Amino acid sequence: MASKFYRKALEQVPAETKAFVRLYADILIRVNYLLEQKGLNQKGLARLLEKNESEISKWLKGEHNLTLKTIAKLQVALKEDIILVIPTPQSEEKDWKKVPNSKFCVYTENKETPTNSEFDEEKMDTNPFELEIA
Amino acid sequence: MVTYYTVRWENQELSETDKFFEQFSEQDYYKESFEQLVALLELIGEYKGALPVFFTRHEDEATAIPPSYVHEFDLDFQGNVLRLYCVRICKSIVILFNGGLKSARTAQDSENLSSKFRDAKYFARKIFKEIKDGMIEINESNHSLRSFDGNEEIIIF
Repeated sequence: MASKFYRKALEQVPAETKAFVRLYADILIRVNYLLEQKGLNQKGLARLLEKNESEISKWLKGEHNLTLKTIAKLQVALKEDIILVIPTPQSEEKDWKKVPNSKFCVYTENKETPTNSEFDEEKMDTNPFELEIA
Repeated sequence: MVTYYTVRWENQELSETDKFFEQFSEQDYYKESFEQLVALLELIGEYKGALPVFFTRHEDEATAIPPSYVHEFDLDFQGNVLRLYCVRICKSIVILFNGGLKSARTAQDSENLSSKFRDAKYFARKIFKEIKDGMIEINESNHSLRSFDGNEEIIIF
């Protein structure tokens, strides 16, 4: 919009409010889309969540501050994700050294790994066990 | 995201972790603690990876989950009465052992836990030694372990 008044008014809206409105709108659009995909109406959603239809109506009209718990309930009821959080990049581990010409690594040194220098194999039982995928 | 390994005594049918699941999955009294623990395993296994913040309850060579509190995700496990022993190998591999009910101040004094704690330390020592000696190799990107000769069947004597 080119209106100077509009631009000025917009500048006065705190960034936090803008972010909230945008998030809220995105969530409601997503929920309504999922309802349509699954052939559900407010009544059907209320039944799934064991809630009053009037409460669901408030959620879907934006008259209610959706909490994370409410969103989690909606995700479970609709069996779809509603919000996705951007994953945090994780640092590479430096405890493993690559075996040449192999996808596998060998242990180098991990200071966090507690090791017991007093470990005396002679004193241990020597029962064999197998490592397998749980 | 994470491959969970477990250990099985050579002459036994059930793995140590299956023994734990079998013992606690049907007990109403520990239901909340058990469900929390299973949800944590799913969170680590499917969504977050084996981040060090989940493995802070070091008990000698082994680690017990759940941790008391995970600051990063605001997860509070302080009321959880169960302990499942494990070792975190890397971000994508965790080896689970057996566990039990923490009923006293220490694992050694907890009737249901002390033998599991002793076994967990034994497994952890043996496994770390095998890794240090190059007998077990780790494929972080493929989330898998194998023995030095390329065999995926890993037997530790």
